[in-house]
Amino acid sequence: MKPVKIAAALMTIGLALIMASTVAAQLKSPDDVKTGLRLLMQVSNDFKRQITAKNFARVPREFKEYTESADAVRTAVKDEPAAFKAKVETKLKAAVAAYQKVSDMSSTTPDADKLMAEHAKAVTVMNALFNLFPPELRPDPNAPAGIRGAPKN
Amino acid sequence: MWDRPDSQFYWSRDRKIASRCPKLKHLHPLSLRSTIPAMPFRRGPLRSDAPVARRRLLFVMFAPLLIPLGCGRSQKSAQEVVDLYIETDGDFIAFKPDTLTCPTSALVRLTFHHAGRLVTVRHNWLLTRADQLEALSKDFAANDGVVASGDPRVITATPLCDKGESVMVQFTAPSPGDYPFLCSTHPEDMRGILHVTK
Repeated sequence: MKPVKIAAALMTIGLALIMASTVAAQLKSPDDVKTGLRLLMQVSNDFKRQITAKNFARVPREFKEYTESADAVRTAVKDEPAAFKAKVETKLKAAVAAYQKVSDMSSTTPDADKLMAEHAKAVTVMNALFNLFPPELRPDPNAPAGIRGAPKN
Repeated sequence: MWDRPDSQFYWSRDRKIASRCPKLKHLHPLSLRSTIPAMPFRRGPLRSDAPVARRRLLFVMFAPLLIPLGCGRSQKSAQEVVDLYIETDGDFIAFKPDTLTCPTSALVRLTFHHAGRLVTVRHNWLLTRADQLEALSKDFAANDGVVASGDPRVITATPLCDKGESVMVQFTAPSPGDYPFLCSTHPEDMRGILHVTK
């Protein structure tokens, strides 16, 4: 690759990062947005954990938490421009509908494999919502969970 | 110093009393009592029915035994009291802080606050032993986080707590070591360590 092309690619990446940070700076309540999105991710992981443990009866309760987390995102963007709010609302409704399907299936079809497949689809829909926001506000899907406060070696 | 400093007088009176009292009849003449003269009263006549020396002797004998008992009581009431505070990390399933420290044998008064405000989910704070953590977590995952009363694996636990509320638990800190704590409704994610020092 020619040096000119490399420089152009780097500039493009740099511009994208600057634009993303500008969007984040423009958000009225970036901390609340970050919290809301992180809650959605947290509850989604709980969905997965309950399905894996075959605690199907707990899945509808997780869905209730998911809708509350979705409300937190709505509240966080309430002061944003109408066009952006509309985009968020569309994606948010799609995500809630996807997780509701998983919740409903846990009662009608308590099959862990099928539920996991449906959950994976719901995660894809949720990620589309996350993509509306700058990367620094999106939750880290790979954040480890384990014993916090354990002595560090 | 005394009104009647002639102790020999009291010697003779004591012997008379001893001769009249059947309980003292068998008292050996060289017993301790017989060698200690009765204390003369500062004012007024000596009461013939009051063996003052024996009372003093009993007091002197038992006082050293009672002193440690009294000291023991004061030590118990002086047990070190430690107030600890812990809360949820807002609505996230994590403790803040996730490490606590207290000295062994201290009376720990722990306040747990559910700092969430967005999501309706209940939390608690439960202390267990390191070798019981995984088994307990597995059980909680299966039984919806219900803490069975009298479960020997549970050292202590607060009741479940709704968002915005606080609960408290009081317990005596166990022997020195690291003890894991967790939330029974989120046993895999919501964990921390209580360091009990010497």
